[in-house]
Amino acid sequence: MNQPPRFPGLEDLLTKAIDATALSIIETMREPLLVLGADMRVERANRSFYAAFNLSPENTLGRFLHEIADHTWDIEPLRRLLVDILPKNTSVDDFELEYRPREGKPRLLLLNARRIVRAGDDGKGWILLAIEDSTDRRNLDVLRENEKRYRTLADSLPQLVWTCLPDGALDYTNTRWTEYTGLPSEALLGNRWRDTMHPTDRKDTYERWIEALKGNVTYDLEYRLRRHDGKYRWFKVRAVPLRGKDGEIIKWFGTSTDIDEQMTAQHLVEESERWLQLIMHSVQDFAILTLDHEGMVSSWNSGAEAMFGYAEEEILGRPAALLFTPEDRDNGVPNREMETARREGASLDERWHQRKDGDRFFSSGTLRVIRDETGELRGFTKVVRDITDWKRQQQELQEARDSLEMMVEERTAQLQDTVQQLETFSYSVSHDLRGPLRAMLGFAEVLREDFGPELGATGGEYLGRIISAAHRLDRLINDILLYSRTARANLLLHPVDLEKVVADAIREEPSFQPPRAEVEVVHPLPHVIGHDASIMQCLVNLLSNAVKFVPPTRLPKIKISAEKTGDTVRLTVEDNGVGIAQDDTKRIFRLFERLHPSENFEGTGIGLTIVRKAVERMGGQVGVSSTEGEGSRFWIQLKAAP
Amino acid sequence: MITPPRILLVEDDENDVFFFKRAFESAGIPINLEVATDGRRALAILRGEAVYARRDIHPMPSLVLLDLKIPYMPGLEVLRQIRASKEMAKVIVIILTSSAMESDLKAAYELGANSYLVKPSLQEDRKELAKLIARYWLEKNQV
Repeated sequence: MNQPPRFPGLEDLLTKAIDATALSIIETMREPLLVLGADMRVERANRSFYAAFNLSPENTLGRFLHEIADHTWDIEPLRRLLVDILPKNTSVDDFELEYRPREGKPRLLLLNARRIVRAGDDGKGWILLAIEDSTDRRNLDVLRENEKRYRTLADSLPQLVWTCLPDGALDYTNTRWTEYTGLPSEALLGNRWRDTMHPTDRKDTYERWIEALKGNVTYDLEYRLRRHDGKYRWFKVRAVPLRGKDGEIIKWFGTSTDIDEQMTAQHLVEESERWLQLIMHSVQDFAILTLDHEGMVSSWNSGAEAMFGYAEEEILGRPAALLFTPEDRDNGVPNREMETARREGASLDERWHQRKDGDRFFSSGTLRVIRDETGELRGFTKVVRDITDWKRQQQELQEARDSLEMMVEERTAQLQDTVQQLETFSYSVSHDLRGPLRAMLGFAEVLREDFGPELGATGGEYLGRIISAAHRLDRLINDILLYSRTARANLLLHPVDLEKVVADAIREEPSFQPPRAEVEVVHPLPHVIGHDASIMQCLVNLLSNAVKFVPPTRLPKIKISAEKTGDTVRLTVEDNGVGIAQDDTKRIFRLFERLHPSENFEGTGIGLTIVRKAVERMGGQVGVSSTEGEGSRFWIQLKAAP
Repeated sequence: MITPPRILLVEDDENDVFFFKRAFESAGIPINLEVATDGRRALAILRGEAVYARRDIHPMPSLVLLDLKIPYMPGLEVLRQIRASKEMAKVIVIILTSSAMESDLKAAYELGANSYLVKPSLQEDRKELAKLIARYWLEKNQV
């Protein structure tokens, strides 16, 4: 009992209530202890209490708990707990409490309280309050907790997280590292991790890494690390140093971020940009340039340089209007072109451009707007092609065309002249040949009329031959004229009623009518598209042949019929004449062809040629089928009238 | 006594003149024929100029048979001048020529020819033509 008895009453009480052993235990306890009375006055406090809370017995003993230490012990929850201990014989176990002194840091206290009773006392008992300052212990726990938390955090990050010593030796890797490399942590720690770096990157990276470790440069590196499957992927590696009091680096905290996809994407973008540039500059036949939204040149390919004569550095940033001729510039053509492109998306044009040296060339060009995803105008692309040669060729072609046209006109005029001459010639033939012929024929007839009896039988026969020959020549001339007229005449085609034309044709010659011939018409006959006089001519010629080429003993019987197939009409003239051998059916339509000697059948050999020519001029066809000795079927085919 | 119709034959071919006269004769049609061997003379006769001034000897013809290919003045020009003058405008003009060239045919009708005939080659046809002219143009046709 080396504690001086300050309060004789308490000494007495203690003497009664607690034995010396108990007191010495309290005193020797390292933890602060308080003994409180039922009225919460401090009955006893040990040294450790005074030391821990910087108090003395004078300002502690006999005072209410909530008064001491400048009321800092006035803690409501604590009071509620303590109040229950004596009456209800409860206890307080490991009650955690944050104690806030007037000065200094808050402290974390762990309180335990019990009711203590001594036999012979009034039975109320005292409260023994043991105080444990767990502030320091708690801090360590927090540290541990924090570390655990940070490691979990580090493991949850997608990056490879690590720490290393100033010399670069790795002393921590997160699980991403081991997962990524497929190696246990031990295989990475120290400098062993460097084996996972891509051999190509090692040398270059190593030097920069050494510099970074010294803290001279930012620890910001990119290198490839080998994945568990042997593939290397790009990582961006960053680290921050933890420095000591004197600024020396104690440790590095670092992350390695997988940027392989970005690198690949970036690589692709760079590659495609490079490719685009390559293409643009390899195009020599086209000038490709871009303009900004104000019409200033913003890019220029080598084709443009070759075409306009400006080097890239000369023209960049200058107005594209420079490329136009001064006249076009004065007329505001460059602005109008941009305006059109802005309004319609593109402006296509062919025009003269001017080179740097003043020479001009003719070009075909397109100005197109460039808009970004939002529709904002970013500028223009202009593609220009030199078509001077092409234009010159066009011009030459046009000139050649013109001269050809002129030549054609000349030739046509010549041809028309020739036709005119031919016409005059045929007129001459008809007029001048027929005059003398007519005289010969006429006088031969007169001779027969006036002097017939005097000539005698033989003289009469000779005269008859003269007349017959002259007459044939006359008809020949006539037919030639008719043929040439048929071949030349402008036929105005129109609907023609075959009924009428056939009737007219039959009426034309007595030889087509009874008793000299029988003509049967199969009604009705349709309308065709043709030229009535020409159809009439054809029918007369066909009927002439039909009645002519018949054996003398046979009465000519003719059947005229028509058949409409689709939009064509075939008019057939069928006779009972001598017929035509199969081999001859083509020949008979040719000029001057005759199948029969003129002694047997009179004719000029032109009749069917006229028919063929006339039908052809009406856009139709002509043909014949025949059985020799029995008759022929001549047909002409024309377009049906609608 | 009926005066035979006065016909002007414009024809330079003697043979044709001969055949023409003979055709009318053999058809039994009396005519008062005047022959002009060229275009100018034909117009002189029609206008009653110079030696043809005396209408009692050279009366105004009522019918002109006009060849197209004649000396000095082509038949078509003669026709044009006939139709251009008041005095001669009403005279019947029949073109009688060797060939029916389309351009001539068209021009003749455009210039006011009354008819266009091709000279027949046979005497029989000529006789027929003479009859037709007489019957149609000299008897039936109303001027």
